[in-house]
Amino acid sequence: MDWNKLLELTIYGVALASIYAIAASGLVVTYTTSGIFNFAHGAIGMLMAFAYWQVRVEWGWPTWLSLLVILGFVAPLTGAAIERVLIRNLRAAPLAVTLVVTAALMVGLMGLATVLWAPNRSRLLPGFYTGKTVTIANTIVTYQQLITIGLAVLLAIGLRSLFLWTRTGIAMRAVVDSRDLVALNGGRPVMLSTLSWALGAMLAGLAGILLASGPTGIGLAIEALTLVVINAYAAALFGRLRSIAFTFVGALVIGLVQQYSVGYNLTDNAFFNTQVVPVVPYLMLFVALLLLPEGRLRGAQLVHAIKIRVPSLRTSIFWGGVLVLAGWVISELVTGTNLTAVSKGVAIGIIMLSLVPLTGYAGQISLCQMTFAGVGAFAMSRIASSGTTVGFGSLGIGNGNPLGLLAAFVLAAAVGALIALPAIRLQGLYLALATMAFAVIMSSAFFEGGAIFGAGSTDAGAVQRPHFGFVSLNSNAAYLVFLTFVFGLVAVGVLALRRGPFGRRLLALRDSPAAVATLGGSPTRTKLLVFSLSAGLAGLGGALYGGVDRNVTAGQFSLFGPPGSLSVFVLAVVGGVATVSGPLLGGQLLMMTPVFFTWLGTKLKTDLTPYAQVLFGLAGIGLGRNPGGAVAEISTRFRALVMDRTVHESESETHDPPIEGLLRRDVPLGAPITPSQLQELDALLDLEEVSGIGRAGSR
Amino acid sequence: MTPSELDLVTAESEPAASAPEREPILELRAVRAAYGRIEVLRGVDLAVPEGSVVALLGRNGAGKTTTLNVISGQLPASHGSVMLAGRRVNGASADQLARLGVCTVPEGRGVFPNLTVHENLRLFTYCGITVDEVEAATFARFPKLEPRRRQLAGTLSGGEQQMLALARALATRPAVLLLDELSMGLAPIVVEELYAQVAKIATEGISVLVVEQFARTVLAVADLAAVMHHGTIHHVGTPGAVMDQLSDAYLGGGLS
Amino acid sequence: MAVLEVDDVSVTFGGLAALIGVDVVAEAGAVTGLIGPNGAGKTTLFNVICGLQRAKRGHVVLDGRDVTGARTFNRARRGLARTFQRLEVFGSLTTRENLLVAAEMQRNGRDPHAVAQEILSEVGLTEYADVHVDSIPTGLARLVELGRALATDPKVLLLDEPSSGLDEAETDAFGELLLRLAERGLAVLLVEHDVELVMRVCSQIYVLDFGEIIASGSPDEIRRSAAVQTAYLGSPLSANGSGR
Repeated sequence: MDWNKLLELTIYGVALASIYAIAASGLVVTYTTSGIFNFAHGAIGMLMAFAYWQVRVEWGWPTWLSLLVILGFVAPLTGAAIERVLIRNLRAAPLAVTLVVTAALMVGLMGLATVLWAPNRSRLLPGFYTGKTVTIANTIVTYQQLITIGLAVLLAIGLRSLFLWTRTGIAMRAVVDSRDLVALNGGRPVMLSTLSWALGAMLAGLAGILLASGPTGIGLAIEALTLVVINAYAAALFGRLRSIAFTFVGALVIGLVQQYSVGYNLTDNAFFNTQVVPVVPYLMLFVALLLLPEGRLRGAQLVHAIKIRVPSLRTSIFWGGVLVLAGWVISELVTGTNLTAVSKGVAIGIIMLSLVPLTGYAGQISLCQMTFAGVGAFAMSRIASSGTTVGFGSLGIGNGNPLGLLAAFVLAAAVGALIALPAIRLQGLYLALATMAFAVIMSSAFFEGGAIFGAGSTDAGAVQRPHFGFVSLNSNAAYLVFLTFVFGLVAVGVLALRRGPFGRRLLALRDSPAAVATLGGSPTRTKLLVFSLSAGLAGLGGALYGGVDRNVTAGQFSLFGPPGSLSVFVLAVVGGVATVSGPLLGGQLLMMTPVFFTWLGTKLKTDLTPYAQVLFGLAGIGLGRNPGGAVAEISTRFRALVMDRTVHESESETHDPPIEGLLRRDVPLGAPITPSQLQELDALLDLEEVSGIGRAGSR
Repeated sequence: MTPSELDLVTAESEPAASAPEREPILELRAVRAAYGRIEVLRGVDLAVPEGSVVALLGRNGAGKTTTLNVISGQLPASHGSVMLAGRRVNGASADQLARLGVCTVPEGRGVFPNLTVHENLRLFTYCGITVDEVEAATFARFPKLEPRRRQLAGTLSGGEQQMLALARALATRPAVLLLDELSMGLAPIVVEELYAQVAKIATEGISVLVVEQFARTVLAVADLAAVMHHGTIHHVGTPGAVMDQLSDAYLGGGLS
Repeated sequence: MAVLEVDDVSVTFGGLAALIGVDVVAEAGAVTGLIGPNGAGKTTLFNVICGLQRAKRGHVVLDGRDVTGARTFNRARRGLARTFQRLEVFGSLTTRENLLVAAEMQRNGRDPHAVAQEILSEVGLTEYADVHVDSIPTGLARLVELGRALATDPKVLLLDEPSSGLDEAETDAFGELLLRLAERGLAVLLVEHDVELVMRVCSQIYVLDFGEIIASGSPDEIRRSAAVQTAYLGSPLSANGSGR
């Protein structure tokens, strides 16, 4: 036993765990107090690390001032601003909406970081007291490590004091029990919520700075930094998103396991060491989720969903035909990279269609649709190839055999079922987290590293276009027409599903799982089926997507992309995930917006492409609240315009009481009551000696 | 409803000779309120004279709790006025009203189960009093709670939890105390004990509005009683007069 | 014949007893009433019967078979259907679709569309067949829940405050409907605050208070029971009715 090595790894592990604990406790505080899970927590931490770099390195401010400005002002204000602008109105919103909004926020913040700090140069964040070390039992410990561990300990003490000894802290715990009762106790839940987001952002920022400046080797990389802060989510789940103490324990476990698995080469398998070890926290996140106790069946929620008319079979076939016609016209007009982008947009649209039954109808959230697409592309590349042997080997049955598409559907559906089996009993937030973890695990442990798609641009990443005997899809124009045809076919199928028993069952499940169960339906089985179907459709889309370039890379099927599962989800919702035209729009937005920005950029002679991502984020935040999506919004307004009716009958259902109009004129009373009015009231009623409105009598 | 019509309502309650002729500290005028599309209050007129105990009775679903929610600022009134000490306070939030002196003990237990007794009391300090003062006032009235200072409120018995909730009314000395189903799930003897405390609170000048199913117990301490039906006040009168109506209101007739 | 037997069921929530040794029997062809003050445990009992809440002790026997350990949907398939006090309709579906979802889960070979049409007219919702349920009044939405439960072709029907939200005429018609269903051989267990309605349609009534059955019997017996009066109105001893 090498005790020195053990001690060294332990110190590394504890230091890493400290960072996780800092980030995770921020997440827990935000979630328990405001009731909204912040998917963008990692992105906030990343953004703050960059902001710190800006003032510390670029502007050369002293370290203490930089830390004070970023952690004392910028981060808390950012957090508070996000809460004020985005989160506050989401309290009564269904979970799906809050997840869409914070996921879109994550996309937007990552875009913002790219805009502000273009990844075209290397940025280094100096550590704290670089080079200074102490030696403990023959083991060298850096000041940075000591500071990190010390900060975590201080945070633990600080949070404990806050929650045990201050009125504000006690009120923050009280909010977990009952928000309304806190208000009845004269507390301001809204203020507590803002405060929790400010605190959460500060802790995320601290974690981000420690990670980026530490010896973790991450540095200032937008995606990597965001992902590592997300590692902390696993720690938070150890505390079931509630207990700070268990969160610290979870962080310690994750940090140590990660360092030991790095330090002790458990196997000589290079694949395991380079591809699996980095995602150990995600594996643990996944496991932690599976260990959560099964929640009780949820009852109905009060949601005012927009009613979307379901077109009849004849209508949907008609519009499918129109779509193919339009595809043909476009294929004749557009060439080169634009044609490729449009085609990819349609293929992504097919992948987004897979979210219509899952998210649009059943209300379940998946952040790993591109993973399934990758599985589909993999199946296509293996089945429908001429027989090159790479990685897992090939079952080549000939160039472009359409059976490849079937294989793509079946394999992706099977993988979907496999992941769904343990995860499907999870509800809402936890399912979303599990799919996110799955996306990261698959992308690192499966797609990357060359085993599947090969490294770089070798033949291994080749994906054939399907080949139907006499019809040639070799020209890009023909392939676009084919893609629109498949899109139309899948869309007609999805709509037929919606009109049938299974579609009804899905909507019923979203509205009230408890009622479905009492009618004799198994919620688990229905969810499993729809998850599997959705994965299969995504796999089909992925196979076709690969055919556009006849080549794929691992990055396309990662969480962040491009295109990436996260953007696919956000833009599907932006387009409208309850309609089939929404995915069509969403796919084109995802693919054509960067094209447009590139074009505009060349005109203006600046690089505008990063703005596309910011735009996606903003669109997601704006439209995420409207479950109907952009297409439904546009069509309602259009119909209203054409038929000369008032827009939005649904909006008029609840209207605020006309408080202002009813106010008595002699009393200059707005909504709030000020202390001076209070005194006036006391004087008016001569209450001082009796009880007083408020506290007069207690003195 | 105009003020003159309102007078008619109070005129109906004229037999309540014991009801003081004071300005109402709390008054609802033609209040309507709805949950989404469902209108629950359909024009409620109710006055709580200063320093009196008013019982609000009625069958489940009549709108009693909703009435309290409107007064405490948890649910906005869609029409009408909520008058506190002669001022219209519609639109004020629950926490503003709480700091103004409207103390609400909601249905169920008005305590935080995962906080200790001490921490619960700590949260009562919103109106400028110290936690020591709160504890002194609480333990003087409810000595049972003192040995349980460090215990989680959720582990207290139902009666003790309601005592803790009532302690807020003692410590913060509000103008108006709103009680919702204090008796729910409690043994009759505990309920009587609690209402004895409520009566004591009222003698200190705090006006009380009680929503209750345990009609007889609450009528023993009330000055006035109002019976709600289908979102309106059906009948206002002395407890004795209302008692006769009770069987109808609760058990649908036929009771002695 | 007893189609539903609840045998000695106890439930605790974190140490607090919600149900204590409850025995209830529902006969086929009759409406059985379950009344009691707020918080007495009526809805908890319904949740135990349909498997949404696990009992600490006791058994639920459905149609002669012990279903205590069975999952909710399996109990439903054995002929148990219910409505909810807090509405659990499928708001984004139309009335007809709500009924179809239920009818399609049955494997009795009947055409779901025909079943839905039949029930629409039976509960009087034909007018609202193609309206989204979250835009119809609550009283009618309760009828949708009733219809949905009937569409599963149940043997036992649990109704949790079905008449709240109905006006007097509607309540009368609803009472008639309940009697018709019982005549058809259904066992109906009715939780209801409208005691008048309960007295009119029930042949047997159970009174639940503090999680315990404190009385059971015919409507007349319940009316005369002193225990029931105490439960509803408080201790008779303190009923002097004067101000303080």
